[in-house]
Amino acid sequence: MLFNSLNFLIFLPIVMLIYFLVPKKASKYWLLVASYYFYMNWNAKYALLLLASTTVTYVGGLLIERQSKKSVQKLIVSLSLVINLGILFFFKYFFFGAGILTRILSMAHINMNVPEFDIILPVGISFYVFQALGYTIDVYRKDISAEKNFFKYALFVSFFPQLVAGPIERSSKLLPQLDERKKFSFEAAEKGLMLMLWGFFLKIVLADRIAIFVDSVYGDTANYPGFFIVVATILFGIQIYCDFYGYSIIAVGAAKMIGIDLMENFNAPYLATSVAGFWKGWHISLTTWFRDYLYIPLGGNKKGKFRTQLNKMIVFLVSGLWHGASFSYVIWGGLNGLYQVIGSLLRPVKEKLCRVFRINRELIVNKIICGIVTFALVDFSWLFFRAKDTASAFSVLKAMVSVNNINILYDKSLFGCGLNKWNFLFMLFCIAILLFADICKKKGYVIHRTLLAQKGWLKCIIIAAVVVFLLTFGKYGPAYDANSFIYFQF
Amino acid sequence: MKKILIRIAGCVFTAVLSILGVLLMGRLLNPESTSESMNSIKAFHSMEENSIDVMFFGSSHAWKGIDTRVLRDEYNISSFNYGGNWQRINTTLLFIRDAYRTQTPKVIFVDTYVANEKLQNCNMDGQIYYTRAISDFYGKREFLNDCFGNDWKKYGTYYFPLVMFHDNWAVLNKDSLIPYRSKAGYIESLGYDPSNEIVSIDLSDSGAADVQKDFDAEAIAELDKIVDICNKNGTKLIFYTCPYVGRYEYADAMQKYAEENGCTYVNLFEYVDEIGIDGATDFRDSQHLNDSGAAKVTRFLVDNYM
Repeated sequence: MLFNSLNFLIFLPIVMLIYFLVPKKASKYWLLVASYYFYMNWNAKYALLLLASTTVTYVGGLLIERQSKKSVQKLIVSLSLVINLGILFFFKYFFFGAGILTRILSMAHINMNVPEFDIILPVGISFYVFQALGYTIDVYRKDISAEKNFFKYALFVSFFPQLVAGPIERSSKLLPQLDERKKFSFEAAEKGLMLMLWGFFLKIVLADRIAIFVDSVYGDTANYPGFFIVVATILFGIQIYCDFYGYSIIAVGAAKMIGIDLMENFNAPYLATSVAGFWKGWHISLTTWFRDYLYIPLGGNKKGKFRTQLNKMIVFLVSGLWHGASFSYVIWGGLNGLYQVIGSLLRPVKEKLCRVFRINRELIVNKIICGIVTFALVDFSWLFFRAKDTASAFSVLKAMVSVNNINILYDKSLFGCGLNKWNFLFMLFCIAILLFADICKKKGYVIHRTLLAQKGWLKCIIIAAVVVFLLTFGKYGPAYDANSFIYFQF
Repeated sequence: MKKILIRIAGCVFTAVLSILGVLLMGRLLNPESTSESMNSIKAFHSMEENSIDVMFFGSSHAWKGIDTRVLRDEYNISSFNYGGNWQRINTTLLFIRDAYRTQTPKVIFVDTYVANEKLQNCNMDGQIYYTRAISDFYGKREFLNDCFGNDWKKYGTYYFPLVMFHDNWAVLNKDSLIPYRSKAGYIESLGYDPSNEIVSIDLSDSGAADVQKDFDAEAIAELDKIVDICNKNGTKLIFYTCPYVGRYEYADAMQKYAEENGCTYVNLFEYVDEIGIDGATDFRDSQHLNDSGAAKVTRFLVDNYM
């Protein structure tokens, strides 16, 4: 069930209504049923996988807690990791891994036949597996005690707003919230609604509008070479941000409406002045997951300079692989890791240059230049993310640099890439709104809080106006092939 | 308690405002041509009950091809052109059924250009949306069921057209707000969609196609319903095909059907010279007659088939 579907807009109020009407004790069971229904709407059979991952980590947690021997605990946690990552590997990386193995073996003149069968990648598998693994590790580390109530734990893994594309929640934050139903609050519902409306704006007005342009260019790079690809790649950076941020904020809003707080997954990443800063604001739940469960166990920055940089590279390469079974994702992750490694290595040089030339790093001009360079670096890596495989990525890159057609930036050619003049200009206007909102957020000014502070009747008019705006300018409806969220495929 | 009631009232107010906004924007953004077709329907509904003796139905070939003003001005016969853009055979059936709700015509002419095409299992678009101007009755329910089946989402787009037409904001201009022809205009023209534009065309290669096709069973079922309604009401039914640039593939099937069902079929392609249609002066485009051509065809049909 897509958030940007009528089904979800009917589903959510029904879930809320029943959630607040049933006796308190039954409320979490109702949420569990609703969450499984939400997931099974996509593929009923794959709910068994979700259940399997849940059961393994639930039992694992209990066993870890009951064992006093560290070695046995380690064995259990390893077993849980192997089973969960095994499921993930089989459904996501089997053919990728088999392909690599076949190539390696063929170099040694050994033929290997990979069995042929169809696998559909289960929606959200990378998200819920990571969330469940995070819980197991937390129990192992004694950061939390093992959850005794299976149904409550199952709800923690399957909670529908964040089930298929995060945010990947921490057990210590989400599990306690599932204990007791909060009283229905108009304030929370209003805030949740505002967040959801903002998310819908990002998704159906911006991301899906930009997608039309990007898909037109990337789908026909022979006819749209050079600066068409440059513009499309810049726009793809914004599209994926709006798409994923939109999903995350709808998830946060939907959860808020039923009184549950989820973590914010984005914090104005494109306003960062360094790649490291970008990653502090991008997909925060995954970045912090990798920090806590991979980077720090690898030694973090405590084992010398070389290991620190190596650990960073490992984290980003794994992060790339987490996104998809393709070398293009690995290159994307590798590039982002490399940017940070180079950034760290050059930091002393940069600081020295600033001192010598007396450059004030706090100057707004300096920040803007750093922001543009950061965006350019990050955006370049998105090219590998957007292309369907490595070969396509390099062919797009070749098409981008082979033609100098800078004139298309001002001769109206851009209006012929799927979006007409008004749609294109409207898209730029919406990007300006997004930029404004992100600047406000960065400055600590929360727009929706200001809107919610207005008088009752004015608030009603604002919400109604936003709804009509979304329905008028959004990309949806039977005449339009509704886009799924990009991160659903991960 | 008072606070909660105020909050609930606020929610209802927001919902009402949103729905009003959605309906208003839907009205603003529905296609201009749909608004015109709707104005034509509204014009028919404003006619006095049982005041029309002759009616014309069918696609734009009928709507733009029969000048009902000729019947009023030259023959003193009350008539109405209840054709419309995109009338497929089940749309024509809907219009005929709608006509009988207020009128008892003695003669009905049905253009057969799209007699073999039935709208079914489709998404809502301008071709369906303009029937919003017809109020709910069994015939409309049957028509919508043909189009949408049991898909309630498609019904949603029908009653909330913003869902379907919201992208039109990008092509909105001042003319979008004022349809080319108003309801009053269609009352004056008795439903006919007039135009004195002239586009010169060549009709020499047009007529019945060499290879003729049979009607689908579904089209025949719709035609049967039309015949049945006319028989029950004692109305004379005449099918006809208006000339256009192209080859008509159902002339034989239509002739056969008319003979088998005791009604008349006139293939006007065969009478182009007799009618006096001139490709140089009588068309507004390759598919549609202009005022001059429509007047000639109307006179021919009245003189020979009424």
